[in-house]
Amino acid sequence: MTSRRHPVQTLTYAPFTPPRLYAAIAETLFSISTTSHEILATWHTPPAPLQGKVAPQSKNPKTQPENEKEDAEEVSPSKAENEAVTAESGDVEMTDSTSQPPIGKRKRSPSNTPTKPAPPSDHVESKKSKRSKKHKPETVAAKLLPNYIGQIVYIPTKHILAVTTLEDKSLRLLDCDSLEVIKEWVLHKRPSAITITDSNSTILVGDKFGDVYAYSIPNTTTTTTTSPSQPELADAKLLLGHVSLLTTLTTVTLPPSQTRSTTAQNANGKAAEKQYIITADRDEHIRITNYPHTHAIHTFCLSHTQFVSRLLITSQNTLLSGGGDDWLGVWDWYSGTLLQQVGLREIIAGIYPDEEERGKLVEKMKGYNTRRRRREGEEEEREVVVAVREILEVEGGIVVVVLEGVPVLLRFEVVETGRVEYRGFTRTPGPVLSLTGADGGRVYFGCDVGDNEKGGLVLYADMGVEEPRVCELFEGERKGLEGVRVEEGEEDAVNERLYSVEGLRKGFGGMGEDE
Amino acid sequence: MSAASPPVANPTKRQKRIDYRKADHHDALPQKKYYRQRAHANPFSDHRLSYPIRPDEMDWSDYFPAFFSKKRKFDDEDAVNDDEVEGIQNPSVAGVQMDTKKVEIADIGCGFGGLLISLAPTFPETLILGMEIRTQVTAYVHDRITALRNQCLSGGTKGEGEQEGLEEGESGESESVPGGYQNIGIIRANAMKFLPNFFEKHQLKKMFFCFPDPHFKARKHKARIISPTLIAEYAYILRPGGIIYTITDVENLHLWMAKHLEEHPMFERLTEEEQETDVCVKIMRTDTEEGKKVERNKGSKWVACFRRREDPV
Repeated sequence: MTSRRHPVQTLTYAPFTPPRLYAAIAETLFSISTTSHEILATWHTPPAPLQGKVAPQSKNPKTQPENEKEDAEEVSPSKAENEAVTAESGDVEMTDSTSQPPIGKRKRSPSNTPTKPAPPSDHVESKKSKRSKKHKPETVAAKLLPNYIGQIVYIPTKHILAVTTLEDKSLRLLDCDSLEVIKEWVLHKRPSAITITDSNSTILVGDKFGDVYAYSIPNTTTTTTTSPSQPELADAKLLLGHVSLLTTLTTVTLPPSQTRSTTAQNANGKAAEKQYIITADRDEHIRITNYPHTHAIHTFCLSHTQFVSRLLITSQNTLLSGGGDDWLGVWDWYSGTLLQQVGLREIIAGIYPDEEERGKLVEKMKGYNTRRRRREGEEEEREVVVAVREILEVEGGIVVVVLEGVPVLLRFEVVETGRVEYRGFTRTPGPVLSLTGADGGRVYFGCDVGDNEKGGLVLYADMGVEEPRVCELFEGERKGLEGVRVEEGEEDAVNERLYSVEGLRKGFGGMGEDE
Repeated sequence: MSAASPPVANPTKRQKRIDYRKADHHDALPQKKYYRQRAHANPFSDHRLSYPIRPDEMDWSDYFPAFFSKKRKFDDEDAVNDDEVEGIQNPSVAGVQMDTKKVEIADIGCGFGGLLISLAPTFPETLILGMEIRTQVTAYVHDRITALRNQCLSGGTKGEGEQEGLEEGESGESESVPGGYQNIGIIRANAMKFLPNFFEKHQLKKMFFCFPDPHFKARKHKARIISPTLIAEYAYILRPGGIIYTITDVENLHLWMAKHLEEHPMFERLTEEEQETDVCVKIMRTDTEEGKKVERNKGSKWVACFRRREDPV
């Protein structure tokens, strides 16, 4: 296999003038102008935490992949400097540990800022050591796992981004312009879902252990803040929890007009809005919880027979859900009733009427997960396995759905009753990995185009029209963002990170399989 | 722990167990030695569980054949009980209208079923479900209930001492047991994950948590059956006024459970007096297997009970 560049795994649109896109490629965040296509700023995640024995070369800046460093220099001159700081500051706590016995898993290292060295790591250490886990064999040679960027949320009124990183399990607030870290929190567990609520003043983070914590955004976030506050656990508030991996969450408001009981009126006799958090998990549950009174569960939406991976509140205030079932659910979430099941299998059959073509796609999808290949012996995958990766609504009531590994954008329309109707599909150059909605019915998305130099390809399509056309954001010389080169032998690891949705399915080694 | 038996060190022991389980025991009470299993199961594992998609999909006829007719929407693949249950041919209790009742009492982590069997004649009109995650233990309780039901049906004449493994005070009086043990059932389930699949909002009036796994290590606290986040789920399936009963012989765990339930806005603690006059508390203290064991070892038992408040406005 020839070299391949890492595709864009996360995209977020921010409607400034001119509008911007925030794109994450592995450990790097790019801020891109959608009009001039210039890269305005970049940010690297701090080095990933150490596991097991500390490798002797850990003081060496080479702990970051060589090629990434080269890329950094190409992309922005200031970043190479950044990176040096990153590597150095990240290594503070590692330097003299080579001669010592393994001290278990270290989960994170301090974040970097270009202007100030990272905070002393002692307190981080002490906090972490209590929670150190032993499930990884300590004899495993130290390997710096890439500290992937997970989710990015744009917080409009504050001019900041909330960014989660997966390996050091952190939530950071970044300035929208400079991408400097304003604040950071160490999370309890690896984050798996994020959303904002309370008129942009609270971030909700769901994790792999099923819990949802609230983090309030400080009011004094000005761009002049130079040093991030000390990473803290303290101001996280546990709101609710599932005993299952939390896959996604969203919030919803019941408008006064729909508040069905008189009890929902406040002291003035005015009908009050009621807020809810909707969470979904790997064990087929969708739960509606009161907010902020999260001790009271309102109801459950039960019908899925596989994991639920995506939720969307439509413009008609119905809930759209998708996951490992070959249908999308449309719900009256308030009563927990399933209004409609939108079959996806027929749609796939319509897009790939040719059995051979479908077979090729199935073969390709098998390659995304080594465990999937291992499962072959038992029960071979013959049909396209449906795993909903993205559900998004753009202007005009158009819902765009992405299925993992299937190189199309599916287009639906929300009709007045809140139900959805299939409107067609648009082929993409490769499986869509990231998707974000912009103004005017446009979506931007990142594609995995496989073995070629295009790498972090960013495309867009206007979904409001009858037959949307897919265009590349970068034209001419630069074909895509130059993300890290994926070396031979890394393919599987990278694919498993990028194609993670199907991995939620039970029966092939998700969280805690039967012995 | 999977549904299929893990390889056992001693193959003869395993074979004996299989032979014993295959044989027809009709009304003989099962012996614990054929149902041994390690004491803990990981609640976060997938296991091979059967559970309904939602409560209205549940076929309760396998568990309460006297109260439910076959639905067969939901296939119980575990089939610990299928053949035997069908043999009984709906021994409907006179005057019972089928498919009208709902389970109202749940014993979460019921273990070997002592509490269930004691509660059965105390609340003969109420359906009581034991939930247990360990397959062997579930099978034991199931066989025990079946034997007790059969004893009641056949007039329960077996004299004391005639049966091995007989539990105290279970046989002599069985012919006069109100409800004939038709009102208790046992299911293998992971209650930490799937309670909302079995029970609707406000369905239960009592939930029991007797001698739960203490999970001493701090990082294991999320695996405790009483946890700040799970209490919300219990409040969801309990009706206002419903009661959570907890008992443990581990003081730290008692303090933990009491603390988190006290802090939860949906629950208020029963007063000492209310607690001591509650018949369930007495049964919970004396009739659970663990309770008896603690008694023998002269350990302490800590009780805390909580009432579910009204829904917030």
